[in-house]
Amino acid sequence: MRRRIKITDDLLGSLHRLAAEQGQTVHVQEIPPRPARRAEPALPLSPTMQEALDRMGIETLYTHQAQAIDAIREGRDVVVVTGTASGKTLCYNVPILETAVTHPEARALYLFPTKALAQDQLRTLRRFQRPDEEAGEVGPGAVPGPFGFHAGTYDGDTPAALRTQLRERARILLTNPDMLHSGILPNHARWADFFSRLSFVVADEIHVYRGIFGSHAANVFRRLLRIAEHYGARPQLVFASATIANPGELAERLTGRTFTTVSEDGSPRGRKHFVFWNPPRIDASGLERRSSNLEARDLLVSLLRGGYQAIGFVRARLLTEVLLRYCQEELARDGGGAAKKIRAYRGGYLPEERRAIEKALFDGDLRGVISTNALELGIDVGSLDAAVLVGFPGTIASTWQQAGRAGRREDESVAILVGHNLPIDQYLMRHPAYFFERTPEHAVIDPENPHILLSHLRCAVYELPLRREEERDWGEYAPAILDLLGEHGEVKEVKGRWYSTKEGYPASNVSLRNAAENVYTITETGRPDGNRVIGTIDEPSAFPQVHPQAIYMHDAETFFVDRLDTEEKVAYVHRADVDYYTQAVSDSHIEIVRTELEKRLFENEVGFGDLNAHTKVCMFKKIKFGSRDSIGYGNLELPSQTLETMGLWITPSLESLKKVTRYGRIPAEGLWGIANVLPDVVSLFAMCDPRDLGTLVDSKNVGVPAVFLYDKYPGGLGFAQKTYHMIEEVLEGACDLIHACPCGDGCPSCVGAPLPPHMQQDPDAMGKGRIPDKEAALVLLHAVLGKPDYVPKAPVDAARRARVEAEEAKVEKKHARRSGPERPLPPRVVTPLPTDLAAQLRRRLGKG
Amino acid sequence: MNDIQRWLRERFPKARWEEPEGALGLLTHRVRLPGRAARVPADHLFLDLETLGFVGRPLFLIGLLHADPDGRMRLVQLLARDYAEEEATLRYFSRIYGPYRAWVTFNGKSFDVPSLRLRCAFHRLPPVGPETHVDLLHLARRHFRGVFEDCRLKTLERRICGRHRIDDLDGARVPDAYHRWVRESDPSWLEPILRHNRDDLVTLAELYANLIDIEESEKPEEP
Repeated sequence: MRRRIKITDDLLGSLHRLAAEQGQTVHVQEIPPRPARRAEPALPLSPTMQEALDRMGIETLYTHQAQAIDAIREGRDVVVVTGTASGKTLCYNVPILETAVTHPEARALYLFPTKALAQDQLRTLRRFQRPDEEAGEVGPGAVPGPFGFHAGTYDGDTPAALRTQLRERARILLTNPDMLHSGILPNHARWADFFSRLSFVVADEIHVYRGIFGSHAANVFRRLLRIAEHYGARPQLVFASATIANPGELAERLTGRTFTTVSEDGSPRGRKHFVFWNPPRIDASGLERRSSNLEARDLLVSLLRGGYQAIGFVRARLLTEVLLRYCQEELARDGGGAAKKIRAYRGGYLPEERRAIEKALFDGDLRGVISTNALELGIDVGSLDAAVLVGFPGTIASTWQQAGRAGRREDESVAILVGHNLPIDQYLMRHPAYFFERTPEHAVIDPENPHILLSHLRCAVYELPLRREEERDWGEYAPAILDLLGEHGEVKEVKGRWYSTKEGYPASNVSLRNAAENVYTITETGRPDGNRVIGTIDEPSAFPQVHPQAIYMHDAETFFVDRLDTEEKVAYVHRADVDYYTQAVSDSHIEIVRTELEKRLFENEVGFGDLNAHTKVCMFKKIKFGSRDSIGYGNLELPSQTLETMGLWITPSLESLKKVTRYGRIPAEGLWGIANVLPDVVSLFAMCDPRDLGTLVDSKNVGVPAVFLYDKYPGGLGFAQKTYHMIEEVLEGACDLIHACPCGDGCPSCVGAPLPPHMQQDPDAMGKGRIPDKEAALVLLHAVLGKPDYVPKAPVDAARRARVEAEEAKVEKKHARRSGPERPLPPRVVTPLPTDLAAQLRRRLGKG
Repeated sequence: MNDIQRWLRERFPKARWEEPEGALGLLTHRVRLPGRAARVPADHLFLDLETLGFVGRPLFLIGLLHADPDGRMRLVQLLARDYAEEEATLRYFSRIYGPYRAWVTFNGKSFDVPSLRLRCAFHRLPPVGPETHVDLLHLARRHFRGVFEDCRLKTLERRICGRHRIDDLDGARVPDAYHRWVRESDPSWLEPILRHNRDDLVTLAELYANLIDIEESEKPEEP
C-alpha cells in the first residue's frame, strides 16, 4: 500500500534555504486545494457495477463522472475534459460496461493514440472483473468475466490467430487510429458483424489529434462512421481530452457531430506548490548558469531521500539516460540499493520493460522515474508526490499535464520547473505570471485540406463505392479531387457512384503522422548468450543517436555503437563502460528546387515552390559525465535526411535591411524574430498546428538572408502556399502580434522561439541563444509591408551595436555580389513539371 | 442488339449471351469434356472466381460448370459488366446456384469461398457456401507433391491433361484488364479474362475426374 506523505513546510523550507545558499531567486506559486464534489447518477448504477466499484475502492462518483454517465445513458455524444488523474476513463467504462450486460450484442471501439495506452486501458478494464474470474481478454481458453464481455487490444503486434478471435468475439476492441485506418477499415467486410453492432466509439486523449495528425484523424473518423452506417449502425461517440482551450469544438471538427461537453472537474486536488527554479549563475558576467540537469539531479535526489515519490520530465530521450545516471551515482552513496529505486522511461524501451516500470511505479516500489513526454499521456502509474520538469515542455498544456502527474487526491504536491539557460525558459523564469495567466493552446485541425483529403478519398472509395450525394460531405473540394483521381485512372464513376479502379491498397501509402514510421532495432552483440535486441529507435532519431561510435544509453548503462545498418535498420552495439556520452551535431539547410510563384512586396521578394529541407548529422561531440567537458569529437559520413516539401521565402531588399542597420541593429536577428513568430500566425490562417511548420533563416539559396517557411510533411500540405497568397495579411498579423505584445525586448509570445528548438539535444552541450531582436523584426516588417518606417524604442546595448557593424558590412557585400538592388529577379530554376499527383492538385487548386 | 452482344457473337460464336433483368451478363458456353469428366453428379458445381485482387476485393466473374438435367455439361459465366453489378451478380448466383451443395474448386478453401463470404458480407447479403467442398489443390498436393515441380494449375494441366495454353492471360493481370474494360469499354480487355476463366474451369473438371480415379484406385478393394 502507498504511504501517505504530506509535502511539509520542511520541503519548501529546504528549497528556499538551498536557493538562498546559492544566491538564487525562486518563484513559488501556490495552487489552492479543491475539495471533492460528489454526485450520484440520475439513475442508480446496476448492482454488478456497484459491486465492481466497491471492489476498486470507489465509494461515490465525482460530479463530472455522474454528469458524463447521465449524458451517455441519455444517448448523447459526450466529450469529457478534466484534469490529469480525475477519473476520466470511469466516465465511459461505467455506462459502456453496463450496456455490455444489458445488451450482450453491443460492440464498442476504443481508440487511443498509442499502442501502449490501449494496453494500459485494457488493464484498467480488467479491474472491473472479479478477481476469482478469468480475464475477459480474448485469448485461448479465456472466459467472459462478470460483465460477460471480451476485450482485447488490436494492433500491429496482434498475432493472426488472435485477430480472428477478436473480430468474432471482442465486445470491446482497443486499438489506435493508425490501425483502424490501415488494418480495419480497408477490410471492413471481415468486421461486418462487429460494425453492424457497433454501439460506442470511444476516443481518449483527443487533444493529441491536432494539426496534421488531427486532420488525418478527422478523415479516419468520417470513414469509420461511414462504414458503420453501411452496416446499419450509428455509434454513440464518447471522447475524452486533457485540458485544451477548445475540446468541444475539436470533437465536433473531428466527427461532424454535436457534443455535450463535461468539463466541471469534481475530483479533489490537494494544495500544489508550483516552483519556478532557475539554476544559479556561476560566473561573474552572469551569462553562465549551473547546468539544469545537475540542478534537477539535486532536486530529484533530495526528494527521493525525503521519502517522496518523484517523476522527472526531460525533453529528449538521451537526457532521461544522462539524468538517470547522475541520480544513480548520487543515490549509490546511500547504499541499500537506493540507486535501483529510480529508473528511466522513454520511447525505445521494449514493451515488457515499460510495463515493469509502470507497475513498479504504481505499486510504489520504484520511488523515482525520469521520463520523456511518453508518460505525459494517460498511462496509469498512479499519482506521485513531486514532478520535476527539466526545461519548459513547449506548450502551456503540456506543462500542466506533466505537473499534473504529481498530486494524489487530497495530498499536497509539488511541481518544479527547472529553467534551461535558453531564451524561452529564462523568459518564463523572469515572468512566472506569464505562464500562470495564459490559457492552454487551441487545437486546430483542417480535415478538408485538399492534400489530406485526396489520400482519404482514395481510401474511402476503396472501402465503399462513394455515392455522388456523399461527395459534399467531404468538403467543397471533394468533387474536384474525385474528378482529378478519375483523370488519373484511380477512380471511375459508374451509375452515380465512384469506384476504385486501381489495384493496391491506398491506406498503406498514407501515414497519419508526419514522422516517418520506420523503426530501427538496437541489438547488443558480444553477449555470451548471443545477440539480443535491447531497444528500438525511430528512423529520424537513429542517425543522431546511434551513428557509428555513438554512445547509446539504456537504463543508465553505456553501449558503444559499432555499426549502423541502414538497409536492415539495425544498430549493433556492445556494452562499454565509458565516462562520456555523445551528442550529434546536425547541419540543416534549405535548397530551393523549383520556384513556382514569385512576387514583390515594396521591392522585397516573396517566392513559393518546391524545396528540400536537408538535415545532415555531420559530427559528434564526446561529453564527459558530470563535468560536461567536451573531450573530443569525430566526423561522420552519413547520408543526409531530406524532407521534400513546399515552402515560401521572404527576401527583404537591401533598402529594407539597411533600415535595420541604420538603427544599430542586426537584420538577421530581426529575420529570426519573424521566423519565430510566423508559425503561430500562419497556423491561424492555414488551419494547422504551429508544429506542422518549419522556419529557417538561410542566405545560401537566394544569396542574401531570407526567411523560409515550409510544411513539415512530405510533398507539402498547402500551408506555405496559402501563406504565399495571403502574405500581406500574414505579415500584418505578425506585425500586430509583436506590436501588441507588452514585453520589453521580445518574449516567447512574440519573437522568442515558441517551440522547443532541439528535441534531440542536451542543453548542456548546446550553444546558448538569446531571444531575437523584437525591434529589428518590427523595422523589417514595416519595410516589407510598405508601412511608415518604424522607429525602435528600446536603446541598443553596446555588445549588440558592435555586432551590428560587422554584420552590416557582410550584408552589403552579399547584396553587391548578388545583383544590386535594381537588377531584375534572379533567374528561375525550372526543372520539368513533375507529373505526380501533388503537383497536379496544386495547379488545379491554384486555378480554382 | 447492343455492342457487347455483337462483339460476343463474333468472338464466342457458339456461346449464348443473356442479360437477366438487365442486371448482369450471363454467357453460356457449350463444352465438350473427355470421358469421365463429362459425367459428374447433378449436385456438383465447379466454381472459379475472377476478382480484383486478394480475398475480400470485389469480384466480377463467377465461372461455373455443372451437369444439366439431361446430363450434358454446361459452362456458365456470370459477369458484372461494371463495378456496380457485383451485387446483382452475387444475388443471381445465390438464387440460381444456391441449391448446388457440393463445390469443386482449385484453392477455393483459401480463396473462392472466403471471397464469396466477404463480398456477401460487404453487400449485406446472406452468406453462400457449399455443404461439401472438394479443393483440388489439396487433393493434388496429396498425390503429386514431390512428383511434379509444383502443384499449380498450369503445371497440373500440362502434366495431367497434356495441354498447354498459349496466349493465356496471366492471373495477376486479370484485375488490371477488368479495370481497363470498365474504363474504356473495349471488349478486347474482357475477352482474355473470359477465355482464361473458361479454360480454368475445363481443366478443373478434367483434373477432378483424374484425381477421383486415383483416389478410388487407392481405396482397398471391397470384398
